[in-house]
Amino acid sequence: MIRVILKRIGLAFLTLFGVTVIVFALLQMMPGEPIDSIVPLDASDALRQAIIEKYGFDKPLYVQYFCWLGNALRGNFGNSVSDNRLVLTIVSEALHNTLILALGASIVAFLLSIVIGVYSAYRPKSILSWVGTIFGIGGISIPNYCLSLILIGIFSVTLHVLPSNGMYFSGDYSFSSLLRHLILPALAAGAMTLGIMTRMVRSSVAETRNRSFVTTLRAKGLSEPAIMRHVLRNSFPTLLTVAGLQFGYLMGGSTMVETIFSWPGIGLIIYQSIFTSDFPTTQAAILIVAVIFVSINLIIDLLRIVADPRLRK
Amino acid sequence: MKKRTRALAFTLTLAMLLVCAFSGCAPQEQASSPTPAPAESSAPASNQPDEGTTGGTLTIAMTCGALPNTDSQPTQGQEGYRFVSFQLYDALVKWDISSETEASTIIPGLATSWEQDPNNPKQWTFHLREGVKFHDGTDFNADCVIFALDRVMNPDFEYYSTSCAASVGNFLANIESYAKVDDYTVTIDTVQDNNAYLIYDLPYVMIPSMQAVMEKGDGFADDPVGSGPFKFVSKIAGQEIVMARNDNYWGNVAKIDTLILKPIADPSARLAALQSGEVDWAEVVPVESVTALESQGYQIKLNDYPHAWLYIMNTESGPFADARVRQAFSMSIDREGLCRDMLLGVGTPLAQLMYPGSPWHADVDEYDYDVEGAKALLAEAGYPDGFTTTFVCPTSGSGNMFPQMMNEYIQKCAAQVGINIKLDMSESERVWDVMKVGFKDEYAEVGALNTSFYTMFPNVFQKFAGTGGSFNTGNYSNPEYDACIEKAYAATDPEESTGYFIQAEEIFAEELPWVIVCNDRNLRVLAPHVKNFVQSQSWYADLTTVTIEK
Amino acid sequence: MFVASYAQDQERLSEPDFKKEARARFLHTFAAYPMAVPALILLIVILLSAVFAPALTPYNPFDGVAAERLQSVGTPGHLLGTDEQGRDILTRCLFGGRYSLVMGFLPVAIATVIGSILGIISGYFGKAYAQIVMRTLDVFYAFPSILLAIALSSVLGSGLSSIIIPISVILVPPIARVAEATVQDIMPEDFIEAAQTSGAGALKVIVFFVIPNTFGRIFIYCTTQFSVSILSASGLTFLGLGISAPTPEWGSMLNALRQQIFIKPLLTIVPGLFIFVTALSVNILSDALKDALEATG
Repeated sequence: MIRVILKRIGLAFLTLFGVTVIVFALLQMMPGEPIDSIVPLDASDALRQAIIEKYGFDKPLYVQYFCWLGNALRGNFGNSVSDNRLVLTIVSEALHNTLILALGASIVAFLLSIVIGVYSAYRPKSILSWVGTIFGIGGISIPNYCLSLILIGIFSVTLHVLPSNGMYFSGDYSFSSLLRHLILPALAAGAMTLGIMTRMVRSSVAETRNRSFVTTLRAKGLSEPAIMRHVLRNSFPTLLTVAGLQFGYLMGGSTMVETIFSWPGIGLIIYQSIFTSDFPTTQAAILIVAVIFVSINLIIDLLRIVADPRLRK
Repeated sequence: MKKRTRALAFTLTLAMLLVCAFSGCAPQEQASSPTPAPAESSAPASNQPDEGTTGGTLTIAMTCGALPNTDSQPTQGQEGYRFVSFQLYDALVKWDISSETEASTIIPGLATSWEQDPNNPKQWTFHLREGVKFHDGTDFNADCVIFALDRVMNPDFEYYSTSCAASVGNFLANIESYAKVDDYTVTIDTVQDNNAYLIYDLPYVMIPSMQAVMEKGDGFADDPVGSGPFKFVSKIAGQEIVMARNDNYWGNVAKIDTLILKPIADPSARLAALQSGEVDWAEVVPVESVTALESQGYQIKLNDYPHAWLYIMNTESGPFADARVRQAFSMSIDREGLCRDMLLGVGTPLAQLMYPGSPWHADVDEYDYDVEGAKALLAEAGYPDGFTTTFVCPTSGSGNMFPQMMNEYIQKCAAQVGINIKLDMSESERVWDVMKVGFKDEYAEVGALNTSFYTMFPNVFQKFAGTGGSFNTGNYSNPEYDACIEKAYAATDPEESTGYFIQAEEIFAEELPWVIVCNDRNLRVLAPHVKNFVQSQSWYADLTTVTIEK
Repeated sequence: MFVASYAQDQERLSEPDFKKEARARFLHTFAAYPMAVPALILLIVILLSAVFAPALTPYNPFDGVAAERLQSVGTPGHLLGTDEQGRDILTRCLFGGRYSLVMGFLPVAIATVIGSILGIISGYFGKAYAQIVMRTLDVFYAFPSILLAIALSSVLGSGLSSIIIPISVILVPPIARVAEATVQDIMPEDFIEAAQTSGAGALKVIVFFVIPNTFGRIFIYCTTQFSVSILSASGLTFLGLGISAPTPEWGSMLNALRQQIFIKPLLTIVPGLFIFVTALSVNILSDALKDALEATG
């Protein structure tokens, strides 16, 4: 088993290395020279030279790559071109905010999907089951940016009950302020996860219920709730895998929801920094998101290897 | 692994995640915690005179996407100067923004007077204001001025800041050298002879507290100290900057207690924030909401001021190198329709560089809407069937109004005469990029750049269309035009100088190296309880007169 | 003897019953799936309306009267209102369907071909080749797809290809993985071994034995990617990439109308509803196909 784990970790590192190369290459191919976005039009030659030296633009590409990588490994991602703050600070704050959004969306999606999914598997003809189907197929079909606009249209514009942008009310950094701002974006971001998970839970539970061991348990006289626990436990690994992957995706993929709600998360930072040619920020942010994504995948894989003896070959 | 351990592992992971997320729930603050909400002065509705009311908090929604840097020079361009730098800091001189009806001029700031040396026209002497203290109590004197200039002009200076230098670089081009004469006198030498326009650059060189910069070094931006009407309290990155009134200000002391700035790039988000009460003041809301807002009691502020929305034409190569084609393009634009139907009065038509209230406005016939005339001109220039071109346009940006909407409208106008425009829209930074590279290499096919510029100072004549001008992306070169500008700079009599600039403007209106479309009217909306704000004929805002009525 | 062989030929030539029965079962299960047939009809309607858009509306998608901008849904003459330039929204949605549908379906087609080839070859040959291919794809898979799409799209500039290529790129890894897994599932089967020992070259084995037995499952998986593609492509144009004004396209229309959310909320979401309905019908169809395929074993 140790061999399998080590191999998996080694693979993850290899992937990460490939990721750094791709991130660096992508940034080099982007339109716009980073230097031009910093140097003002009227700049004297002395100023231009000072800027080139400070940011290291005069060195050949591979040197720039290794300098960047070396610094990155030490946590030094340089300064943002837009407002001169440390990129590391900007990115960690943004990650923090996206984490809140992703957690909010995931918790709502997971809880709802388990409740509805299990219930639908047990009572396929009920109203809740029908609701589950709607959530399921609707969640994966509606674009999250469209859902965001619909939610804003209903709850902010018409009913005036929920705010439509930002994370907090001015000056009010309480948890309740955060929560009110979190509801709409979390719903919008979580809709797809809700859809996927509801369908997954339902099909997994329904399939497990039909297995022979369940009949055996029932024959043994176990109560229904106890049987349900067994059924759930069996579905758990698959559900966990999907849930983990969805969480990872939410961490990096909520760009559109963040844009509409002006939620200062990592997706928004990446999008803005690409268009302001703030390359240090873009590089760092994409890299860190990819690292997180790979790490989540790695953790899930490792948990599965540890949990499922069949994978320990 | 036992089932229990598995469950434990899962719960532990989830718990760790939750702890990470919610432990730092309240966002990290850079400096001291924000002052507690000040006791709002309870002014009874009508009988209290507005002038006496002090107190309250003013929250402004700005158009920029990120918070301007609070270092001694701001980022986010002119929006940064308007709401951050001019509140936290002072410069040697400043714009007079006290009048709604008079054009804005330069008045004393930290310098009380200045004169040009009659024997050496390149040297200017500034007499500094005495008795001014920075927010940290230290004194303002000539050393501070030299320090501030060294900080952005001298790369070998210990406290030189590359980022500040980059931010203010455009305004330093005229400064050759500077020196201290005594504690309250400095001299500045200019690059060009008779450059009477140094004073138009100086409002943008902010003077920070020398002591504070030396103490805090790189951390100065996180706890800046200036001498302006507001002092820095705190900043939450991406969310807001909080400032408090400077009771010891040398000029008009502000009335409000607290000033909060929020960056909200999306116009409809700004509108939402205004309507929900989260902000008291919103810059540039969607024009369609103006009527509804007015009926709800909001104050709509508009004024003419020197800010043109325009296209920088590719006068170097391609169809627009021919003046007739540029004129035809100008004639194809239905400016009246644009301002009336799309902008609902938030802009006024303009076909020359200077707005009607400007001293350099020329009284000439402009190339205005005339479809048939445009087609005829195009045919004459050799394009009877029109042509295709690409325009690079920003999607937003301070002062750029509603570029998506306006460019599509103009695209349709131009199509009427045969000019087929492909719109290449991206962030406003990209427009600066094209300006630096020029209309060559990857931008060789570009016909024009859409952007907006303040036209408050006459050196724009040289910068925009003078040979070698720093903003002259199209490399337009007209000896007659250059001659007018030189005469204007050489003239010692201001009237004569203005006259020559008007001549340059006449050439500009004829040749159209830049095609101007309309003049922004600086739309902003204030909540009913925000009183006594004077919207001057300028981009900048005097926040010291504002009172909050409760 | 001549008569006998002729009869044998005839028997061989006429379709075996079990194939006919399987097809019937397939269609029956498909039609029995809730809302499958309506979804199919709806999708066909959407496709046809995009193709025959000029015939369905008197308006030109590029003509707008500025004075008539932002009229509400249900205004006489403009069933779905007018946009910020005064153009009829229904017309622009119909014409926009062309771009949105192409951007939605083409990447899946491209990714299916490329991903299947990569996956099948990896699954068949295994070992080092599979490692290299799959590990490289893993690197792309390591990015949250939408971010990678945004980055690639901004590198590629403007035009339809700057949407189609990034979406194809992000769809290839999952399809390749599914293809590889599917092939690996049937590799241990006897008929594969038999085909290999019979002396057939790798290409023949793949083409005649592997593909027919795996393509069903791969194809069904690919149909689930249609909605991902449509949503992602419109998402990219929503962010302003690829499509430039005044081209009508659902995602970019949604972006342009977004400013009016507080003034005309219902109008703003109309293009989004088109995206939603298309993705919905595609999802229902792919679910039904999956059920039907499983029913036939």
